[in-house]
Amino acid sequence: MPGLRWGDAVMVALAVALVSSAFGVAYMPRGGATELVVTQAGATPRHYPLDVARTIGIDGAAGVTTIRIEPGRARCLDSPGSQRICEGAGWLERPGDMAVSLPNRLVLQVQGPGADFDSMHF
Amino acid sequence: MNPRRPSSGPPAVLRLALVLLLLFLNACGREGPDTDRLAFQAFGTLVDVTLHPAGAHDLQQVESALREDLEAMHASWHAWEPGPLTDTNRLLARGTGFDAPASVLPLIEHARELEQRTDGLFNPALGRLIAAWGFHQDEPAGPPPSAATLTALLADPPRIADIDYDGERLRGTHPALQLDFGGLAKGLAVARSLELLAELGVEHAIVNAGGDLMTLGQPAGRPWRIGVRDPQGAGVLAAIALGADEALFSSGDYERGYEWDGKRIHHVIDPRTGKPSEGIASATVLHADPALADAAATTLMIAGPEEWPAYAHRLGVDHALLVLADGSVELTPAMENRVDFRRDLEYRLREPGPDTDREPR
Repeated sequence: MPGLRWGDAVMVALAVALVSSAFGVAYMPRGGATELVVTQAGATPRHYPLDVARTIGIDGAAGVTTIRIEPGRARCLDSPGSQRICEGAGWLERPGDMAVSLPNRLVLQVQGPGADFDSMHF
Repeated sequence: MNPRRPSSGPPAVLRLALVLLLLFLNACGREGPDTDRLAFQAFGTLVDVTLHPAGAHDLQQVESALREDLEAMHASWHAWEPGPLTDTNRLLARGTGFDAPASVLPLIEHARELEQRTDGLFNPALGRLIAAWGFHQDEPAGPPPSAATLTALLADPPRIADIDYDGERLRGTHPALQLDFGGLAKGLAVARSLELLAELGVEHAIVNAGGDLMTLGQPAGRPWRIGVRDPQGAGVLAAIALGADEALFSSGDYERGYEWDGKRIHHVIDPRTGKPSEGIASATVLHADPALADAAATTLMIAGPEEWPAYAHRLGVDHALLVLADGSVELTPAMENRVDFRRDLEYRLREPGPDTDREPR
């Protein structure tokens, strides 16, 4: 191509590769959840990366909500309250999946590219 | 030597790279939610607020205003903690006229209309019956009422129509009348919260009070996406797309309740039998009026598997989804258009109105 030097060609190739990969991430079928966000009444939201398996406890008004984190997903293992709403939500693995503990005033939501739900009805 | 064209701006390659960079940044901008969320305790439950777009609102101001307003309504409308509603009940039982309290009057007016439209199946005047089942306390508990107690309570049950109202003063004409707006108050509270958000300049939001919710506006280019919890198992039963200013309310046997003699005693009491309703595990109603959606969910659950379409018709409900006690699912055709089930299931379509059965899908 007249006027195009080898450095220009490398730059174009790099730019095309970069944009292709970005579109791959953003517009192709979405990946899994990458982060658990715990929103508790009266507290700043807490963020937990969904990378390493571990169990955490969140103190609340009615006791401790125990949360199991595994790579790409999280679930409410045990939480105060007879209705078992929090545990009943099961594994949260798609971005936007949510569990709620009414007695402990907690919302657990996993996030990642392209959340599925804006709110949870129950 | 190759001839080169003179150029006053950056080389074409650089411009191309810039365009690609902008596209890249745009693509990266799609990461993460486009909403902010708040969660706080008010109205006796967890209130979860979703605001769109992210980063556009004073979250502290929104939370503070909503919490204060919801707590005021909760105190005014509480069925057993001392306040305007318990005062009203005391004066109604006395049978003499008194000035209608401004905070309680909207509930009475809504209830009067709903009781008429459901021919008494929705009856918030049965507070004594609800209390007899152990639901007038923060943690519901037995024992359930005896057969003799139920017979006495149902011999001449009070109705909202037993309240005389001349536009200024109220007077009770039934000594057993006791108001309990558990099937209506949250709908009015959510409606008021959305009005408050609009006054604060919020244009796109969801207010979710203990699982029942309503939208304010909607994000540009997409509907609100709501997950519906499976009442009989783990996870999500369905996703429902909501537009602007739509309410989604449910009644379910998994809500307030207790175990007694190995049986689940739930809080939705059928005025015809005086006992917890049977046959429907949960009723979900989508409607533009949150108070009606709230009351209709309770009414359809009480109506039972045979009669719920007739009561949906009476209340002007086009969008309803019912999970029956055996786990089967029934819904209206209008609701079918809104629902995306997240697990394989057979469901039955039923049009609001009497005698409208269709084949399973």
